[in-house]
Amino acid sequence: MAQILVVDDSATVRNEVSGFLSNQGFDVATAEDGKDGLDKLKADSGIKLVISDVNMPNMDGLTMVEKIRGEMGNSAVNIIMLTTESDPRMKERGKAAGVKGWIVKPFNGDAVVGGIKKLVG
Amino acid sequence: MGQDELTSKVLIHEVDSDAESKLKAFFTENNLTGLKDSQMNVLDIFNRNTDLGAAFLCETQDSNGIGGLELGKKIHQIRPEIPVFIRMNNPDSNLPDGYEHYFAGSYHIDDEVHLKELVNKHLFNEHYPIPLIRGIQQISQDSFQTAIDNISVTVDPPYLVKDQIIYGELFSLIPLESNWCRGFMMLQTTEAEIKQIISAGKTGLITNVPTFRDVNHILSEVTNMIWGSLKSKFFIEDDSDGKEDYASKIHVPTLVNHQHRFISFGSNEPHLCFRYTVKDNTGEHPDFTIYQKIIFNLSWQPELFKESTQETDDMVSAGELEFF
Repeated sequence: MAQILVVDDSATVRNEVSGFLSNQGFDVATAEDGKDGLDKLKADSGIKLVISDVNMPNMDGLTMVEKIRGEMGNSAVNIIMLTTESDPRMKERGKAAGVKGWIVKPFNGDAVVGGIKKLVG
Repeated sequence: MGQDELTSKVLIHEVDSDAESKLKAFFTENNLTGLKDSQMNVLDIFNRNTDLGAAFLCETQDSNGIGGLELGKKIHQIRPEIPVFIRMNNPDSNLPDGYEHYFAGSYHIDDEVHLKELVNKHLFNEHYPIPLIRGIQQISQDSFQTAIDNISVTVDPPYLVKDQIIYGELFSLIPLESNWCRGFMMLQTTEAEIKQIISAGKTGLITNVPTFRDVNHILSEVTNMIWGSLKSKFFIEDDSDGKEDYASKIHVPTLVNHQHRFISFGSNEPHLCFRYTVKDNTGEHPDFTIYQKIIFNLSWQPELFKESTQETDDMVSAGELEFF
C-alpha cells in the first residue's frame, strides 16, 4: 500500500518527485494522468496524499480532484497540486474543489517536505 | 544591438560593390544581418538556410547572366512567403509589367527612406512588447536549466523570420491564448545531443539507451514549463467582463508539409524567434541549439497586452507549498 500518489504525465516529474519522497521514507505510487490517478486511488485505500499536475491528457488534474471529492468525499484524501500554473483563478478553482495546497513547478522537495509530512501524518 | 532589439537575417544578391556597401550600412542601422550569396547559388542558399526574413536583389545581371527580375520570380516560386526587394538602377524605374506579383517592392540605392518603409512594411511590421521579449528569454533559459542539470544557456537577440521552414529533427507546439493575442509557441531542436545528455543522467529520465521518445519527452517537459510560466505572466485569459469570447472559438488549420520541412499557421506574418545555445558545463557533451518561435496568428491586439503583477504580490515562491 502506498501513502502518496504522484500524478503527472511527465515521466521526468514522476521520477523526480517519487524518487525524492521515497528517499524521505514514504511509500509512493505514480499515475500518468487524472484518469489513471483516479483509478489507482480507488484501488488503494492506504493513500493519504495525492500530488497532482493540472495540465494532463485524458483527464486534467482539477477534474480528477472534482471527481475524487464527488465520488469519495472531502475527507478521503489530501490533495496538493504541483503545476506550472500560478493563475490565481486556477488556484481558486482548486481550492473550491477541495485542494489543500499548491506548488508551482519546479518541485523543490526540501522546501515542501515538512508540509507533506504534516498531511500524510 | 540589445538583447531585446528585433533583428532579421536577409539574403543579399548584389553585383555592384558601391550599392553593396550602402546596403550593408543600411542593414547595420536597421538591425538586419546580410547573408551574401558569394559562395553558392542563390536558390541553394534558400534550400540550405532556415530563418530568412527577406531577400535583396538587383536588376543588373550577375556574372552568370542571371538578372534580379528572373531570380526574384524563382525565389517567389519556392518561397512565396519571403518578401523580395529589388534595386533598380534608374531612380525613375519601376518594376516592369508582370513582375509586380513577385516582389514586395523596388528601390533605388540612394532612397534610403523608401527602402526603410519597404522593410518596415513587409518585415518589421509588428511591434512586440519589450517585457514580453525579455520575459520569454528569461523564462525559457530558466526552464532549460531546470530540465537539464549543469548547463549554461545563451540567447541571441530576438529576430523575425518569414520563411516558415522547420529547423532540426523534432519540434513541439503549444497554443498561447489570451485576450490580446492567440497563437502558438514552437520549440525546434535536434536529437543526438539530447540523447547524450539523457544518457549522462543530466535529466530526470533514467535510461542508458535513450530513444527518440525520451528526447520527445524532454522537449515536451521544457515546452510545458515555459508555457506555464508565460501563461501566468503574459497570456492571461481575461473573462472579467463575463461576455462569451467568440474570438477564442475561431481557428485556422495548421499545415505541415514534411517533404518541404514547411509549416504554415495560416498567416504570413513573421514569426518572433529566439535562438538558444545550450552548453554542457562539464564540456563532456556537445552544444546544441533550440529554436523558439512565437506565432501570433489570431486575434492580434498588442495594445491590450498586460503583464501580470502577481509575482510581486505573491509571497509564495516557485517550488514551495502554499497551503489553502
